[in-house]
Amino acid sequence: MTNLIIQVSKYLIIILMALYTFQCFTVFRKRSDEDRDFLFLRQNVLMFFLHFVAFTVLYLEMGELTVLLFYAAQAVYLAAVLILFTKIYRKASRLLINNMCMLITVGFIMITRLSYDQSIKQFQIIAVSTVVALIIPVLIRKLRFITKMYWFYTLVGIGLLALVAIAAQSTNGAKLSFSFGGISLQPSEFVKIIYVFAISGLLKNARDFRRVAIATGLAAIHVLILVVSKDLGSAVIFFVTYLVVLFVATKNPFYVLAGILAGSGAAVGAYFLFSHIRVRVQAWRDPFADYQVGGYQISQSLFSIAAGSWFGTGLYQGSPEAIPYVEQDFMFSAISEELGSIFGICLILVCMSCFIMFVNIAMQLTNRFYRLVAVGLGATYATQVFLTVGGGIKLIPMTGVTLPLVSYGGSSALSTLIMFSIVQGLYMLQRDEEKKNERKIFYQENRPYQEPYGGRDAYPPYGPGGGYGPQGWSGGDRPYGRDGYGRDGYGPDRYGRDGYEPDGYGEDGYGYGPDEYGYGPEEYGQPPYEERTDRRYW
Amino acid sequence: MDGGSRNTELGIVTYTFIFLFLLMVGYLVYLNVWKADDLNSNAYNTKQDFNEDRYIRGSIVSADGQILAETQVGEDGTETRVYPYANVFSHVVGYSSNGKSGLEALCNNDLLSSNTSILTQIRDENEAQKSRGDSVVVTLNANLQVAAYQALGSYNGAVVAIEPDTGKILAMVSKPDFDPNHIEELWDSLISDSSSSVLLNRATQGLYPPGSTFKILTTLAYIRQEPLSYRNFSFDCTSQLTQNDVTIHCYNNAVHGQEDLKSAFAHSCNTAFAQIGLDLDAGDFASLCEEFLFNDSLPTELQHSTSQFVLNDQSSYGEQMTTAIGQGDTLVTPLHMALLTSTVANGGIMMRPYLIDHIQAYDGNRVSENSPSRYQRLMTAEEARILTEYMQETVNSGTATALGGYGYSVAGKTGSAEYVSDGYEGTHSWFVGFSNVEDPDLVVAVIAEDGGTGSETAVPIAAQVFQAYYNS
Repeated sequence: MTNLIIQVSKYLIIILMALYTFQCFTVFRKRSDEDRDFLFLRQNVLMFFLHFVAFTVLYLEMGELTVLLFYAAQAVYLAAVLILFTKIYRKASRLLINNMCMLITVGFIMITRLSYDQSIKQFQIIAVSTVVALIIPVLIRKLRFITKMYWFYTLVGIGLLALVAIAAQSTNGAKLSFSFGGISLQPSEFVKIIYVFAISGLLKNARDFRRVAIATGLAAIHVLILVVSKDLGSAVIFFVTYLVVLFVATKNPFYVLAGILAGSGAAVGAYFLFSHIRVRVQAWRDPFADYQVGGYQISQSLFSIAAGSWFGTGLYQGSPEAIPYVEQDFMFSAISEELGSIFGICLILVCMSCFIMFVNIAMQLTNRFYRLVAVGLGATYATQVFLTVGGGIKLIPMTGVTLPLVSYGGSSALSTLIMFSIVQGLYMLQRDEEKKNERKIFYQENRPYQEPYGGRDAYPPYGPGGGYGPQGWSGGDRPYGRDGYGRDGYGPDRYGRDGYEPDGYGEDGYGYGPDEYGYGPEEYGQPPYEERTDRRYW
Repeated sequence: MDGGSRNTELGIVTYTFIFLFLLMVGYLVYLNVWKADDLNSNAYNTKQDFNEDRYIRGSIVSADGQILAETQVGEDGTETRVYPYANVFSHVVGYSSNGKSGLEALCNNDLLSSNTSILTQIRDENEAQKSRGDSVVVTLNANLQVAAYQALGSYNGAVVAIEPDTGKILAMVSKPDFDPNHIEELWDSLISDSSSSVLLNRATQGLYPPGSTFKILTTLAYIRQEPLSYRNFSFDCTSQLTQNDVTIHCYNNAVHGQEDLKSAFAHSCNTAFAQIGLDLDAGDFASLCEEFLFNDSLPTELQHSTSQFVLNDQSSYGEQMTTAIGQGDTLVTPLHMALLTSTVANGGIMMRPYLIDHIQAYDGNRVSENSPSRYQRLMTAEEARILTEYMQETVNSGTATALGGYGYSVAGKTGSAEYVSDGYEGTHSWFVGFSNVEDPDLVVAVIAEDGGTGSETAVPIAAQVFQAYYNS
């Protein structure tokens, strides 16, 4: 009977994950807050159900009662995170919280499967980290001086990385971590965040070349130290993040082009300079030619994915432990083997949904510094996912970074949770500001708009040209609409219009191009206004 | 300040990363659709071994329903892999302990998966029994294989029989052989004996000089180079031809006298073909051979060696002459020769050769099926017809007359490939050909190592295989 349950649960888990993922994207279509709240709730139900099914299988396979206790502890933890975040931070982005919990859930399941001892340790670390993460949004909101301390961040970042390069223990040739009393700390995980703050500060007013040159030099020092420490994955993440922040700050594509050229040149140079890079590239080009040495890990990873095929072998039915360092670097391959490639694809899409929310939030921020921080953290996250998943499936050479929140590793989990919380903090910060501005605007400008729509809202009238004419609207720096939707055209009604990727994400798009915003009359039909009674962010 | 333009750069960043995410999804799909089979049957992949604890290895069954390999479970649950035909299928079926080879390696994944009904699986589980793995039904015909095995007798070498219009491999014999039932006891002596390389499947991995069988391709190259005048080819064979210190002799110093292309082919006249070799454009000849998969892998998942052809515009006269008669540096596998012959038999179209007909679950349900698939048209129907005509002449009046007089027509080509090994000079005996010329039924390729001329050894072996095919 056990076998039957395992086989059925395999498909059930995939269906639950697919539904969850689907809703990550259909949420943009939902019109009313009630719909959206209901959808978020459904996502939570799916997540708990998935967690339950997976642990039923784990219990059947392991046959230990403690697994049930462990399951209960995890379920309580997940419920607590959801309740705490949504109750303490009412304005927080629910989708981001849901995704965060989903990734943690998948991590719990797979680490428990791979190593029960490690999973208990990981659970403790995540629980403690979550407490830290809960405080972060408050800090972001209250401590405004953090926007000005970028020179300090730069020094701390470079200092920490240099310390690692000189003094850290070396694991498999790469210098990564320090150990204190059984706890191993990987500073580059935290420097990643400090670094984003540093370059955002350095570049927030960067219009002239001198400023850009200084920032580039400082960023290059970070990257070089990482290369010397043989921490290639982090080096690539830092490099890509810098390019993204530089581009958003300066809007100058030539900087990016120059950066990519310099980066490619450096990569080719490093290939000839360092043998460990050559080994990785060789293993990527033909893992079987060098099977015994360099290619073993990636070969095993590919065997895992192939063995799992679309629907996976089922939990405990595969042998992902054959991949060296599977809990850290090859989590995705282990998941693909036992839960299937369809599940794996869903997981990639959930990560993509997180990234989209990061940038989405960046778009709504008016403060340049915060904007750069949000997009920088998004780039860090997305690059890391790309490196670890892409490396595991042999799309790119393996660099050995973790899959954030899913892989085993305390530093990685803590830093990712902090990252998510910072973005949540920025999001709430923006909404605080908007609340304030809105009140101001309403009092200043309420003359022409007195209760125009059933007395509910202070909405600007349509201008003579069909859009919001500037002449009818002089509300300071917030010319269009309110709640931050107006500026970027991010009203819920807006999703579902200009459809990029018609199949992948429902019919809606995240049209960011200026033309797609279309404030024209055909876009602003009548009905959406009626519904915007008590609009909230999601 | 316009909200839209302020976010253009963020839009670009987003789309770039979304592209990367979708690239990963796409690559994962690619891996699953196009790469998974290769990876699952990769020689380094030991994933399936974990399934040995869960499933009883499935059987390998011939097309005529004979068990070629099965796992017998004793009273105490011990599993023994049994090969009822012992040595007859030793290479093609292979062995499954001390590593894996042949079909045991190729189908490892299928043999250790179970697609029996879920009810059967639940019953097995409740009775604490291992489920039976799927069976692999192969294209091999046990009768024909036994006939070919016996026909080859005590010679080392190989016999390959293919159905030309489907690519089904009906027989594949390699000698020296071994008994896979006792592979564990034999193992040490097998691997220590490096000189006879018993474990090598000579049918797919043995590389031999093709000798005169290669004249099929030389003839085709000449017809293509001289499409209008090849019929007027005329050569006066005096048993030898000398060009720049290199002299080519006809076999046994035979003097063939005045001959056209057809009779030169039928009598396998070396001097006439050496002259053709001098006349041919070496570059064109090389590219024709590469079209016919020399220096390339064959369109099959069977493990095989790559045949070799070396000739270019800088080659010496000697190289040109020896290459044209199938000596020189040319090396070929018996399977490759059989494929070339079946291309002629099949009107110019090469079919992909295959061994696995279908996979079925222990309870008989079909899991998957292979169907014939066309590789490519390699010559025109007209070219195939001319070559067939020449090959038929070989049987009617040339070197393979022993194949005439049965109730079916045969077209073929013999070969006597000279080789030198550790100072010993010998001759491999070759034959390639097909039966029922009007609508070819069976292609046979035979090589008997050190068997002398094609006519004296390989042709009688082939005759026995054809006889077995038509008499069963």
